[in-house]
Amino acid sequence: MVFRMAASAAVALGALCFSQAVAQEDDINPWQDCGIGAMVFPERPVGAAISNIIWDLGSTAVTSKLSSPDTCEGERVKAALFIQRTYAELAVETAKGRGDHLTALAGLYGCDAAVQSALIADVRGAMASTAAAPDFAELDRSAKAERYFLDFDAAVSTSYSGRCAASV
Amino acid sequence: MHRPRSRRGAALAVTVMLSAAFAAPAAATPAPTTPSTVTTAPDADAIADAAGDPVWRKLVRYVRPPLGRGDGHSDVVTDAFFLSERKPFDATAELRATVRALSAPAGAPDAHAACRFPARARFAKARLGVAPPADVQCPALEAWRRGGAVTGVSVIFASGHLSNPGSFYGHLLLKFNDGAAGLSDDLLDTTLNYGAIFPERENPVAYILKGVAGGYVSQFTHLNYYHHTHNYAETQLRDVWEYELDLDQGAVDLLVDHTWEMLGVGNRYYFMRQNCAYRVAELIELVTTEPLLPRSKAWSTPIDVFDRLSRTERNGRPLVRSVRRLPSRQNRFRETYRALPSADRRTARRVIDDPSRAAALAAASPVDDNAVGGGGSAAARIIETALDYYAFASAKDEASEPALRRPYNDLLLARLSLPPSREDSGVRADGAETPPHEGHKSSLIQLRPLYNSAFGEGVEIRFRPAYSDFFSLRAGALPYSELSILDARVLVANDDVTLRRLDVVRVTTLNPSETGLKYDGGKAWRFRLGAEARELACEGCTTGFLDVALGKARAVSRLGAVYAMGAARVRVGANNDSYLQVGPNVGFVSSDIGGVVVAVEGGAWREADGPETSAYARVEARLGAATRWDVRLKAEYETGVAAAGAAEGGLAISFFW
Repeated sequence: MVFRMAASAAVALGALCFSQAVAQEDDINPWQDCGIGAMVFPERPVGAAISNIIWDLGSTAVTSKLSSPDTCEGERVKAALFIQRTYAELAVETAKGRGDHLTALAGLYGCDAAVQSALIADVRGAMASTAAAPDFAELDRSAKAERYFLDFDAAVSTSYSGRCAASV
Repeated sequence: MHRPRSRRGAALAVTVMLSAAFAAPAAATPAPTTPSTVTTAPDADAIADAAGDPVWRKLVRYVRPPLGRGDGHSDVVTDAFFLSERKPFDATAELRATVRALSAPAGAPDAHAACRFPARARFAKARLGVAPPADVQCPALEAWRRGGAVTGVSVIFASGHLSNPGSFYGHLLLKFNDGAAGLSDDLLDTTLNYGAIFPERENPVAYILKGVAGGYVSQFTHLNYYHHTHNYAETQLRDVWEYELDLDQGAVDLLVDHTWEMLGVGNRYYFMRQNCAYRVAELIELVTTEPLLPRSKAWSTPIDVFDRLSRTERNGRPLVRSVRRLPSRQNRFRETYRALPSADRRTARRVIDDPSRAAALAAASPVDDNAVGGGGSAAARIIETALDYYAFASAKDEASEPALRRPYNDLLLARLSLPPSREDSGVRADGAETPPHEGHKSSLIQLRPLYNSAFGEGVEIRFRPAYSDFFSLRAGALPYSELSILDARVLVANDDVTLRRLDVVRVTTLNPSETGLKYDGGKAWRFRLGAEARELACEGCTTGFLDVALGKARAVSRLGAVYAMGAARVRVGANNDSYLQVGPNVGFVSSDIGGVVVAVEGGAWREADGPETSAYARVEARLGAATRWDVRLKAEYETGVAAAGAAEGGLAISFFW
């Protein structure tokens, strides 16, 4: 259904509108503009009976403060959703310097394999600075996930935009 | 990787032929439509013949009539799943309507029957030569197909979880593996999940009753895999197992298309039978000829599916290509902690006790050590172990999470100050644990000749549909736990047959702390509900009971776990013979050492409003580690209240199926 909506929108808008949407998407903070911070994932669903979950990557989960479907459905928003959901894993893997979630996140940004080590090194440096800030430790997980997104996004756009297809 | 042995060489002629026929257009062109339009409608005989094909019946969820008499039906409850008007369901009428719909003009994008029912369209083309118009456009279906990038299918098992009855037996998912992605990128793969839809704040009693009696509609939903790995491994601390299937591209395409048809389609949910194991097995059976759930059982468990998967062959090869495990965050901590040299383990404990020490440890770490083994310095491994500890502790004890933020951050900063590791330490611990299908089969029949000092010789016959006790081979299950449903024991003695014990539900988990660290481990507890002989000495003195216990367990090296619990038991008998008993239970359960497991328990009961007391002691051992049988020795002694005390001993042979 999500794909159906996204595909229909893309066909209807055409190439020009699509380009505008991408440009807008690069300016947004998905936590502030797409309501990611307000999302509640079903952390403890009731056993096997867990079907009423409609979350899907970069799509129906984005509900509040929705500026437009296009600005909240790009690759950056998918990356933001991924970070919001798996910040716990990403934080540990970033500290260690490698891991499946880090690789998947770089993949979401469309980064080619050759730049991943350097990108991760940069993200580690940024995270070390961010986490050393006096107020960081006491932030809740969602706020930490947002900081992580900003660090990762900045690292990609600053040094690897030519090697990561989803960046500008 | 685990490679299940092949034990069956079943012929797959029909399915292979159809699968190959289906494969051709999809493999060559992942376009939503076939290239030509049928010019001649198939005749009624051809449609009737094709409607009897097992693949068509699977596609429309045809259910045979009981005893093969009368009309069958489809167990789908969503009207939009059917194209025919005829009620009750008729497989031939449905195929006739499908052929008609597939032959209709293209219409708007996504609107044509070929877009809604792509697997049926494959079937109609292969069997009847019917194809939709060439100008049909299905962009939504193409998105679901990921442009043909799905090249494999895996079945995912989330190990059992005792927080909720719906999770006791574990959970099954289907995962579509994107061939363009590397191993790590499988986190972004699409998974199919099946479950009941129920109100957010459902009453627990209603939840159980409706779940058992078919009070909920259930359906498939899809999510990226990382949602599930996070939920299971990181939040609920459950190991996740992936069984990758060895399927050709035609079979993969057929499954991808059929799951598209099933999205949003409802079935009636029955906890015991038509549950996630049943429905996921049903999907995979579309590309196998062998059933993946035993027809001899009226219930379905995930373990039964994996048992069958591991023994099924397709095209002469084992259906399961590989098995791998994603350990929970807690098990990752335990495994990395266990792997540390003893001196480093001591340092790790100090760092866990006081994470502010991590910075000094990192600062003192020789730079050259970072190259050792590619896995980083000793300091890095110690700090990573502590990080894993705080990560699982934060997930396990949500109330304590705010207090754990600062120590966690200290560890994060300390590890970031060291160079990155060149190897991932144990996240994908292939081969480290016995996979679920190598444990005991889920159902038990047991015969136990015994001698009782009060009534003499007898035979105890035991039947348990599912699932485990302390003596079960624990592959893929929570260690030191037991979960039994409808575990019944009948005593044949002195020409009488009496119900000796019926555990309607018995759940026990010891939760021993393996490391002795605060968050590693939890409370030991037991819940039993059922009926049993009031005393060991008597026959036919059955009373109902509710038994609850709470306490603590501790691992004894890797030999086993000792526990102590305070227990309360309500007995409800005939003639107002009801009373409450309280008392302590203490015991020991060994780990599996060379195929032998021993459990010892002793305790005392005192009536809450009377002077009567009793005490008991028992020892039981399992000998053998086969998946289909074992031998058990049991001896017990009990002082009596109403009757004299008694001792009993016996040797049991168990069969698992």
